[in-house]
Amino acid sequence: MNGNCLDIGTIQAFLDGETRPEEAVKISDHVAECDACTLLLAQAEEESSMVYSVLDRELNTLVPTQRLWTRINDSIAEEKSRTSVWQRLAAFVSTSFMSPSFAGAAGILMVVTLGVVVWNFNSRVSNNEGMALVPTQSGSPTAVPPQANPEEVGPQLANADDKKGGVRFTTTKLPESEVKKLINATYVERGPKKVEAVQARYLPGEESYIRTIDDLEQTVTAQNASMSASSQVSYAKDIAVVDDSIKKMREVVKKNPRNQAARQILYSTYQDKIDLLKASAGRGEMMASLQ
Amino acid sequence: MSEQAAAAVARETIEFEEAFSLHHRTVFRAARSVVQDAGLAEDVTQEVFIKLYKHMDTLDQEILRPWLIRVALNLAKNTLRTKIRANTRDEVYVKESVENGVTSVEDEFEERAGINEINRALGKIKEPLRSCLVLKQQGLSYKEIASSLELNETSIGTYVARARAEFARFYGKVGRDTI
Repeated sequence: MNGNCLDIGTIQAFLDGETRPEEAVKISDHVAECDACTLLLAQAEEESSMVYSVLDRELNTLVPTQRLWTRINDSIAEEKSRTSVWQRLAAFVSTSFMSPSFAGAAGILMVVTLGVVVWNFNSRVSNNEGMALVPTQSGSPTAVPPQANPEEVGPQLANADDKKGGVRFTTTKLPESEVKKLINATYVERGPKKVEAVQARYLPGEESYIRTIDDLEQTVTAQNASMSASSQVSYAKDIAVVDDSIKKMREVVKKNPRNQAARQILYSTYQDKIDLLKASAGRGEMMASLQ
Repeated sequence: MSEQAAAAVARETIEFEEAFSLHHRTVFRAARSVVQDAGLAEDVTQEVFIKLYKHMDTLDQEILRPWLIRVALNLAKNTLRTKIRANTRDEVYVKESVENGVTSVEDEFEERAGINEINRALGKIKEPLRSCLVLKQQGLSYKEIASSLELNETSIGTYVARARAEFARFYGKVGRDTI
């Protein structure tokens, strides 16, 4: 025996024909020279032939082929009968989509549906873009909510719509020049780029309020000089309260645009500010006419 | 059903029948080597081929035989555990049956053929040596045995040699007289 002697696993692999050809040659060469490995190989061969022949007797007993096949087929038939309605539906859909005509028709239907959804979405966005400015009976502009979304406006505005068909009438009178200016401002066409920029800056439906307030503020600022000191202080105080309220509600709506109650309060506050500005402008006008 | 789908189903059916014809004996014998009962081995074989039927479309043909044997051995081991639990419950009944000499026709046949001694000797060999020996006897290559039993291929020769030596030793004690 020497250091190159074979272990029992290698001998078994050699007997079972599991060694590579070059390895088998090496083993044969070694066995030819080594008595110990020759003896080991001979014992393993004898034992293997005995064991495999005995096992053959046990393992090659009759296998019930026909009975097994019948049992398996019966089980498969039973499994198939248990297939659920959903599985059958899924199988129908999967096989139907293999047909080119069905797949084509389904594709067209999907494209049409997608188109309708996109068109509806776009029209809704354009409705929400902002409240339209509508001239009042006296020529003074006031904010009117879009008809398609009455739920997005304050209760005050919605009530006004119900009573007067969507147009709010006011009795405040403004100077002729201001009226013209405001009317012109109302009907200026806005391009799509401007709309996008405005949408990014304002909340939906907020833009018309802010424009109206801006215009009214300009009027009031012009008249402010003719107002008494006490009136100016009172006006500034009222505006500060309203502005603070607007600021807070705006933050709430920005945080959660789905908060309809907060949005209604915001619009209502805007309307309060408009009313306050109109009242102030009316007072200033009256003072100017008296002077 | 479209022609393509029908053709796919027909192809799978043919492949399944072919797989059964080629491998049911090996599966049955592998299962029987573990459960040591023809009836239970039939149950296991049936379950194995139902699993094959469900996974027919995802199985690679090259690994089919090792997969079948691995499933068979796992199911057989589970069956054996259940059987041991049931036997524990029915211990009194079994004891009485043995004492009264009540044996089935199959048991008598196996007794005459000396198969019980073979099974007893096999039963004394520990896993994975026993499965290696049985699968080698069934004609599986070392690669297939390694894949079936999730073992290292280079160790299979040693396992088979040790299992063979153990079987010879145990069978020599219990079986020589019956041959």
